[in-house]
Amino acid sequence: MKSSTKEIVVLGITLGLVSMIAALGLSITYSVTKPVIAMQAKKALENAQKEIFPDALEFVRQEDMIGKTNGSTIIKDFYIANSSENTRIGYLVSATTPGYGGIIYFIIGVTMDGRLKSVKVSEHTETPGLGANITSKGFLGQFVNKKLSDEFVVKKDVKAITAATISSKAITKGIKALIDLSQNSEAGDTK
Amino acid sequence: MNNLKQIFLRGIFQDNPVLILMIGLCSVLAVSVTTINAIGMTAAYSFVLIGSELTISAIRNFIPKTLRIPIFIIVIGAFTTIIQLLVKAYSPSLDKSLGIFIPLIVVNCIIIGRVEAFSSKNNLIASLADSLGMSVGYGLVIVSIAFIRELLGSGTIFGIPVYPPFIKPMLIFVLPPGAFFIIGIEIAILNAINKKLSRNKGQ
Repeated sequence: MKSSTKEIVVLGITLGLVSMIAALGLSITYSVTKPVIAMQAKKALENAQKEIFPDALEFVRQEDMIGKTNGSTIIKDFYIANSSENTRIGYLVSATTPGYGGIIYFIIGVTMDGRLKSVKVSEHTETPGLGANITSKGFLGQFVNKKLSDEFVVKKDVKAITAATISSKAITKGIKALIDLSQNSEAGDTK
Repeated sequence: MNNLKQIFLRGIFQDNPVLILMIGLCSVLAVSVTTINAIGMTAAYSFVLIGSELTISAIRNFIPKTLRIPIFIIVIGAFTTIIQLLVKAYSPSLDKSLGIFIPLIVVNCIIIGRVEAFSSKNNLIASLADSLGMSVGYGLVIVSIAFIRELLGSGTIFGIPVYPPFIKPMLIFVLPPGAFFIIGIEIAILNAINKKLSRNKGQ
């Protein structure tokens, strides 16, 4: 009885020591990499903002828009682009929507005259070679300058990618849902 | 010295983790879509394997037998998290394309298998030779599969298109069946090489 108690204590101490050393290594790496990771994320965001609205001076985050949903499209981030103080030139929304092989992360830029400025797919897990073509310029290019009041229906006013109709439909539906969502809130804003 | 060379070469030929032991196939099949991804995966995987094997070998005499699996998991998990943070910080694009497969190195059976079967029973230098051999063995397989899949399936080498525009690449090689075709062919080739090697040794 006595020896088994001792054994358990020794085992516990050994395991505790190993865990502590591992935790030490992890916390050192974490504290070294944390600022770098945050900086990378910030840089990626700024690049996306600059790419869509090159002439904007500042981007104002709209906290109250984040997390709003329309169907299965969820707003992840919302920025209003200003060219100078109080001159709104458009807004930038990043969102997720379910695709064929997983969640699609995408960003849309909308100008104040009611047109899409640009659509970017930032992350996705669609089938390589087929659905993955939703990131191609040939596909996303057709959304540039598209009127927000358009139908956004694949095979009508949106050309689908060959052999990837589901992915094409998914992203188109996501864009439409996102436009409706931000338009409605926009209207609510001015009330 | 000869013995160490033997240990190292075993990881590439007789005991190649992917083609002969048939473990760790999940990451090989999933990541080998582009050569760059495969190289990144090999680097992450080698870091975890070499780190874990050396650590376990160094503390092998202090590990109580009953605690060996939990300790292996802690060590492997720590190294995997470290490499994941490093990749996220210094190569975000690689982090994006490898995605879930970096954290999944924790449960990669090659690593726990080598730690349990080899480094918990052998000294530091032998463990180093073993982990290097296993890393090279893994890397050669995944990078060669990725190179062939990328060339045939996407028509690119390191992301640069090499086909004239009128030739369509064979899509099936980017999809999972393509990976199985190539891995099957590589298994056959390595078995033929191994047969020849052992016959030469017999004579």
